[in-house]
Amino acid sequence: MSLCINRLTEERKQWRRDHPFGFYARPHRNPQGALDLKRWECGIPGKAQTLWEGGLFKLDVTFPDEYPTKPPKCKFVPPLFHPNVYPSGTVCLSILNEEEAWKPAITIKQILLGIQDLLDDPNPESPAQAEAYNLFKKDRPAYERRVKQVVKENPAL
Amino acid sequence: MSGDIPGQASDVHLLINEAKTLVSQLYDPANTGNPAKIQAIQEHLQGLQKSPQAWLVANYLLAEQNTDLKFFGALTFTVKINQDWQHLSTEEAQELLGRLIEHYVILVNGGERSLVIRKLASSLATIFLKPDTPWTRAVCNLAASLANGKYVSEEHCKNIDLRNTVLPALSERQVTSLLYFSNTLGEEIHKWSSEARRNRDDHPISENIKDAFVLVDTVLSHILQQVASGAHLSDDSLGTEAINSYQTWMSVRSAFSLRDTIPVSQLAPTTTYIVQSMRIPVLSKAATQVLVELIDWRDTVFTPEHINAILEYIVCDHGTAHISSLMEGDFEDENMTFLELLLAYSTLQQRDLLTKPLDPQHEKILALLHTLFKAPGYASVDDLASPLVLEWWTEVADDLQEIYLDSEDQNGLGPAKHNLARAALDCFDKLKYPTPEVLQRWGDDDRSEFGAFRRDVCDFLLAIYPMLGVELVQVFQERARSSLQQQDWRTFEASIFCIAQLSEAVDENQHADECLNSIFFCDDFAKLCEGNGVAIPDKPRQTLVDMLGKYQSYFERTHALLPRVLTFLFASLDVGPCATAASRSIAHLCKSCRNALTLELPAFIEQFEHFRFKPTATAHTMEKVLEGIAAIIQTVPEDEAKAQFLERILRIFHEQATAAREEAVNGLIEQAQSRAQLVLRCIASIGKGLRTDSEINLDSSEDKEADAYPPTFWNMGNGAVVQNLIMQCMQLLMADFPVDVSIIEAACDILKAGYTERTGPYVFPPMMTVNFVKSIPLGSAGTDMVMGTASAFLASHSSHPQRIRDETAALIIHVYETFCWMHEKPECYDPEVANSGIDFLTRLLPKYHPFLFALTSPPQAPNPTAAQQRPSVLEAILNFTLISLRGPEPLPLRSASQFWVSVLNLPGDAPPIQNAVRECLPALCRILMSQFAGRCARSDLEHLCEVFRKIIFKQQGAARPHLAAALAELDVAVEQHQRPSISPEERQRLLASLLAARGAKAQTSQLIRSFWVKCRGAGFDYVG
Repeated sequence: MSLCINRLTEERKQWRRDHPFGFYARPHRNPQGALDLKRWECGIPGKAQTLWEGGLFKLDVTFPDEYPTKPPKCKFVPPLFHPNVYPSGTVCLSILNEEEAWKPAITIKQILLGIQDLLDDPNPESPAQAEAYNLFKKDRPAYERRVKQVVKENPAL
Repeated sequence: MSGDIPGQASDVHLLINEAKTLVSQLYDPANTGNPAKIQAIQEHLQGLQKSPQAWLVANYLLAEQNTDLKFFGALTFTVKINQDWQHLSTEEAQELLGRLIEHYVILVNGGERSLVIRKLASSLATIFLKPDTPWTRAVCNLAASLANGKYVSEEHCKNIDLRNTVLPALSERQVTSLLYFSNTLGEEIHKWSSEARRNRDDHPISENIKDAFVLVDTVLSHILQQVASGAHLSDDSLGTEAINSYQTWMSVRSAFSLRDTIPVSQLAPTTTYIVQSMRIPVLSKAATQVLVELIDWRDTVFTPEHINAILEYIVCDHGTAHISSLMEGDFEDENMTFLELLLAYSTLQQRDLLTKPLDPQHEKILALLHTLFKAPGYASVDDLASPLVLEWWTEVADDLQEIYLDSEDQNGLGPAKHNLARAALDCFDKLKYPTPEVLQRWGDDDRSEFGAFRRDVCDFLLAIYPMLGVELVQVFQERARSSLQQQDWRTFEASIFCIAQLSEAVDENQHADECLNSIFFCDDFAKLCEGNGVAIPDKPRQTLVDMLGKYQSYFERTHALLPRVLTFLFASLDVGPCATAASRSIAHLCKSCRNALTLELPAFIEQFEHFRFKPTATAHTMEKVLEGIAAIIQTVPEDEAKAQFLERILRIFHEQATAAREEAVNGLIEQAQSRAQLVLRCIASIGKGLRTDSEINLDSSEDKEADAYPPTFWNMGNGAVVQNLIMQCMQLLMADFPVDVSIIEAACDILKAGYTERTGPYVFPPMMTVNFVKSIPLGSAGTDMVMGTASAFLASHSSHPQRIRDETAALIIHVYETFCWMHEKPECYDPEVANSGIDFLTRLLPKYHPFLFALTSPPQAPNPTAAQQRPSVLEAILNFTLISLRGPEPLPLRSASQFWVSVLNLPGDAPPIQNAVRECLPALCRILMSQFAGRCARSDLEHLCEVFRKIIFKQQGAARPHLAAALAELDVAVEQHQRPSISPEERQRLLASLLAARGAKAQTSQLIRSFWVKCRGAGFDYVG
C-alpha cells in the first residue's frame, strides 16, 4: 500500500473510534459500490451559539497522491456563501495550503474542526469570493440574514 | 545536591516548613472553592520546586508522615531532575538514584499508598530516560533492592537471577510496586518513541524489556496456579497491573522494533497466560481489551494455539453469557469488550467465515454476527452493539468486493452473497424510525446519532449492491409494497429509505425499473398519491418525497407516473418538513419532463394558487414550484396561450408588488422588503423556467449592424402585456423603494433570465440593463451582482458587439464616473465598487476592447465644468486600475491584476492599445517591484506575479529598463518599513534571474516569493 492509502486507512480507523459530535466523514463510494479512499464525503455542523448553528454543510475532501506531504483539497458542495470559500466551493484556509501552514501531522478531524471554526470566524485578510466578503465588510445585518438563509437551506436533521 | 551543609540547614528548614504549610493549604477543603488562592499557592510551590535547595526539600518531604507531603516530595524530584539533570556530576547522579531507590523501598515496605509510590516510580523513570543515565537494568535493580530491603547498586546485582532468585523473595506488595514502576517505565519509553528516539538508539531499553516480561510472566503464572488450585481471587490489582504491563511493553516492543530481542516463541507462554486470564472474572475485561488491541494491530504474536484458545473462549459458556446479556439490553463495558473480541476475531477469519464450509464453532460465531442485530432498543441511542456489528459487516463487504469483482475465481461467492443479504435483512428492523412519542423524548444528540447509524446502513447497502445486484432492491420493494397495503408506515418508511439509498446504484441504469414499477404502478400507491382514503404520516411522507427526488432518471423514463407523482409532491408542499424537498423535485421533474406535462398545466397552476396561501409558501419553495410550472408553459405551442398562462400568474405578483409598495409608504419597511424579495425572486424564477432548453447559436452570421431589439409578439404584440407586467413590478419595487441586497439580486436574475433567449417576455430593450445599472446608488451592497449582470448582458451580444455600441459605451462611462467620484472623494472609496467595476472592464476586453480604447476624451457631461477637469475616460480608468494594484484592498488588487493580464494579452498591433501600454509600463513596473519588495500581503503575490509574467512574455524589451530603474529606486520607496536592506548586486541578480526564467510560472513565483520574504525579514517565512 502507498503511504497515502496507509495514512487514509489509519485516518478512517481513528475517525470511527473518535469523532467530534455532529460531524461525519467517510470515503466516497462510487455507483459501482467501490470505495475511493482518496475522496471523502464529510459534513460540518455549524457551531452551537453561532449564526451557523443548526446547519450541516457538505464538504468533498480530495486527497492527492502525495498526501500527507501535500494537503487535501476541501470543497463545499454546493459552494458555500462565506468570505473564505471560493466561488467553486474550495475552502481557503492556511492549514490547507502547502505553502502556508499545512503539516503532514494534521488529521482529518483537525481539518474539519478548523473549517468549522472558520465558518463563524472568517478571515477578512484572504477573501475568496466577492459576494460574501463584500457583504461581510459592508452590510453585516444583510450578511447575517444571508447566513441564516444558508443554514435554513442546509438543515442538520 | 550534595548533603546537608550546616550553614544551609536553617534556610532549608525554613523552606521545608514553608512547603509544608503551602501543601497543607493546597489540600485544605476550606480552599477548594477559591481558585485564585489555589493558583497563588501553586505558583508559590512551583517557584520553590525550582529553587537550588529543592533537592533537600524533596528529600525531607519524602520522609514525612503525611501522604500529601510525600507526594509533593516525589513530584519535586521529578521537576528538579528535568530541570537540573545536566548540572549533576556522575557521582551526584548515582547518589540521587540510590537515594530515590532507598525511599522507594522504605515507602513500599512501610505500606505507603499507591498514589505516592506511583509518583516516585515516575521520578525514577525520569532518571532512566535522561542522557548518560547511570541506570541500565532498572527493573531488575529495583527488584533486587526491594528484596534486599535497601538500595543495592547495579554492580552488586550483575549476576543475579531475576526469575528464580529475586522475584520469589518478594512479597505480593513488593511485586505490585515493582509492576507500578515497570508499567510507568514502559509508558514513558513508549511516549518517547515518537519524540527524541532517533538519538537514543544506544539507550538500554532491550535489557529492561526482557526483565519486564519475566515479571509479567511470573506474576500471571502464579495467579493462574492459585486459581487452578481452587483459590478465590478477590483482589484484581496485581493481575490487572501485570496485564497492563504486558500491553505497555508490547507497545514498546513494536515501537522500537524489538521483535528480534524478544521473539514470539519467548513470549508465547506469557501470551497464553493473558488468554487464560479472560476466564478469571476479575481479570477478564483487562485481558480481553489487551487481546483485542493486539488482534487489531495484526500483531504476529499469536500462535495457532492462541488463536484456537481465543475461539474456544468466545464460544464457551463464559463468552456466550456476554452475548445473552447484550441480547437482553445490557450494554455494560464487560459485554461490549467481549463484543469487540468477537468482532476482532471474526475479522481475522472474515473471508473463511463467509465463503467456506464451517466447523460448528465457526458456525456459532457466524450465527452470533447475525443475531447481534436483534439486541433491543434503537441503534446508537440505546443499542450500542449494532453500530459496531454493522461496521464489521461493511468492512467485510468491502473486502469481498475486492476479491470477487475483478476476479475469475467465484468460489464461495454463493455463501458470501447469502450472508450479506441476510445481514441486510438483519439490520432492517434497526432502521425503523422512532414513533413521534419516542422521538419527543430524544435530544438532539440522540437524533443525530440515530441519523448517523442510518447513514452507515446506506453505506453498507451500497457496499453489498455490486455483489447482490437487483435482488437487493427487490427485497425492499416487496416490503414497501406489503407495508403500504397494510399501512404499516414505519416498515414502509424504512423500505423506501433503503430504496432511496440505492438510487445511486440503479437510477441511471435500468436494472431496477421492474422493481420500481411494481411499487409505483400499484393501486395503493395511486391512492396514496391522490390522497384517496390513505393518510400517510409526515415522516414516511418526507422519506418518500426525498426518495422521489433521488429517482429522477427513472421518472423521466416513466412518463405515465408523472401526473400522480407530481400530484403527491404538490400535496406534500403543505407539510412543513417536506416542502423544500417537494418543491425541488417539482422543479426538476417539470423541467426535465416538460414536454410530457403540457396537458397537466391548468391543474398544476390551480395547485399553485392553492399552495401560495399556505405557511410553507416561502420565497424558496414558491420560486422552485414556479420554475417548474414555467418550464411547462414554455412547451405550449401557441404564443397567445403561453401569454395567457403567464398573465394569470404575473397578475398575482403585480398585486403583491403594489401591496409591498404600500407597506413601504406606510413605514413597514421590513415587511415591504420581504414581500418585494418574494415577488422579484418568483418572477426571476419564472424567467429561468421559461428558457428554451435548446442551445442558442450565438455566432450566427447575421447582419452585424442589424437592430439589437427587433419587434416581436412579446414587445409589440399581445404578449407585451406580460412583459409590461414584469417591467412594472421591477419599477414598483426598485424606484423610490427601500431596496436591499436581496432585491437587487433578484432584479439582476430577472434581467439575466432573458439574455440567453432570442425572443420572449424576458427579452427586454437593451437600454433597460444600462438604466438599471445606472440606477443603483454608489455604495449599495450588491454592486458586484449588478456589474456581473452588466457583464452577462455584454456576453449575450458578443457575436455582434456593434449592435450595442452605445449601450457598451454608456456602461463604461458609468464605471468611469464611479472611479472618478471615488478618486476625487477618497472618503467615498468603496472596494466593492472598485472591484466590480474593474472586473466588468476585464470581462469586456476580449470582445469590446475597441470601444474602451476609443474613449480618449472626457465624456460629454451635463455639467461641463466638472467634466473639463476630469481626464479622458481611458486615462482615468487605466490610472484607477494602477492605483488599485498598489492599494491595500485585496479584491481590487486582484481584479486589477486580472485586468492588466488581459490588457497585455490583447493584440499588440492596435495603435490605441500600444500607446496605452507604453504609457503605463513604467508605473506598472514600479508598482510591481515595490509590492514584491515586501510591501504587499503574501496572498497578493500570486496575482501580481501573473501580471509580471505577462510583462516578461509580451513586453520584455520595453520593460527591462523600467524594471531595473524600479529596483534601484526601492530604497526610497520602501526603506521606511523594511528592516533588511538588499544590496545593489542582489537586485541585479534578481532581475537577471527573473529575465532568465522567461516567465516560467514556478520559477518566477519562487524567485519573487524568496525576494519578498527576504525584504520582509526571515520572521515571515513559514517554518515547519
